[in-house]
Amino acid sequence: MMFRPRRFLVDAGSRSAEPFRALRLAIAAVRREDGRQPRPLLVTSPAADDGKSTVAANYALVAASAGDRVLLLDGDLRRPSLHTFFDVARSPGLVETVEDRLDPAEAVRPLPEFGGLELLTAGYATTRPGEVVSSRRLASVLDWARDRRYDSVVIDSPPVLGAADASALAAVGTDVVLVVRRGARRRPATQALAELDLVGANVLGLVINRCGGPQEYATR
Amino acid sequence: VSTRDVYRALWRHKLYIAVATAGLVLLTWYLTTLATPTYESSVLVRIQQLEDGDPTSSVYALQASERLAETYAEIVDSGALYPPLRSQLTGTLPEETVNATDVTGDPVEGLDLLWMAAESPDPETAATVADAAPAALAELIEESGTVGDRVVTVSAARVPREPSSPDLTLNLLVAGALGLVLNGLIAVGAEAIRGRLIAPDRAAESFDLPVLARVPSLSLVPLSARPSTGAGGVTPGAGTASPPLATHSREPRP
Repeated sequence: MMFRPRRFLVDAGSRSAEPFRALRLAIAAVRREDGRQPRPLLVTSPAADDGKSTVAANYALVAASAGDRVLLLDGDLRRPSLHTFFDVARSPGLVETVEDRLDPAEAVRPLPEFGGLELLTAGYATTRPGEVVSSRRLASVLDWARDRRYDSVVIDSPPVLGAADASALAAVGTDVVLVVRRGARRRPATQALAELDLVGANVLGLVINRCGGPQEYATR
Repeated sequence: VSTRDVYRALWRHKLYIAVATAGLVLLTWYLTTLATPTYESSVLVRIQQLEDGDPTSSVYALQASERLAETYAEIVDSGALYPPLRSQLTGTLPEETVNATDVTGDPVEGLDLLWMAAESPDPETAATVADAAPAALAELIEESGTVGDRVVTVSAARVPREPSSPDLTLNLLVAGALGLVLNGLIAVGAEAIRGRLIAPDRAAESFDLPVLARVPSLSLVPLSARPSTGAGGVTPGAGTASPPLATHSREPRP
């Protein structure tokens, strides 16, 4: 029997979106405390299958449903998944904008059914994902996003310990959120934070994933 | 891991330790009551070497007898006593009963004395076999052609009233002590392993970073969590699931 991957998107109006609303508020609070301008938000994790893509996609979705203009960027060129979340084609995407110098405006897909959410998929499979994410062209794509005045740019990246891609993305001036799985070993998370620290990443905080069932506080 | 950590781990798991130890003690009690009781009856004999009239030999008589007692204890333990025992008890006990009775020898240190014990599920059988043991040993000595050794019964066997094993009190005490030690080790081990895993309550402290959010397992969100339709500015059925909570599977396009 073939394994069918499950992709979970919450509805922004339901209480299952609460954790992502809480995440949005927490990130805003931390940024306010830091006194820095919002930068692209890199969502990563120490290892694979910790749920970073799910967190990134739902965070972007909830932010967009709140009225923000959000660019969701699939920076995981090794195992891209965001196009499957939103059921769109993988290409054209980030790789085309970097390697083929495609205008980002042509690669970005508006998703009007999700409010102000726009998606830049990973693009075609490349044999040099590390070079793509550490290229100057990628930085210029982020500059383009800044010029477009998105309220929020969310980047889904590979796990920190799986490849250097996440560290490279963290080094181009992003704020980092580290998704860790409840019950996972602490050592990989510690190592991931050490690697991010090496490149001077600004880690805003942690998201603990798979924390049991949802909390009840229903509207009467 | 400091002593204080161990103490804290033990205190935190005190209920587990108490319950698990009590369970082990109860199990031991149950298994002990199931075990067949064994009765032991003993007879004390003196092993004497007949003196040959030489006054100097009497100086070493005690030492020689002591060594003899040790030798005969080993002979008894080897099972060589069963044939003469069977012949001694012919007509008194069936051969199978004699064979099933455990006969052992134990020399008294520093003396020419030897304990011979018989263990059996039946106290009368144990006493009968123990009583016959000195005569059987004498018969064995005689058959071996040793003429200078003599076996004298010092203390006759008695019918035991209490079983020698199992010892319920001892078993319960050992189970209690072992239970406390083992369950204490398990508690400390579990605490050590837990300390190596990411726990939501301690993550901020462990990594010196704020916990921005705790996301539940989305696959665990119950169906009842699907309230309104079209809330939050999201068009239902277009991307997310309809009704609101989307927990459906999407396949990549071919």
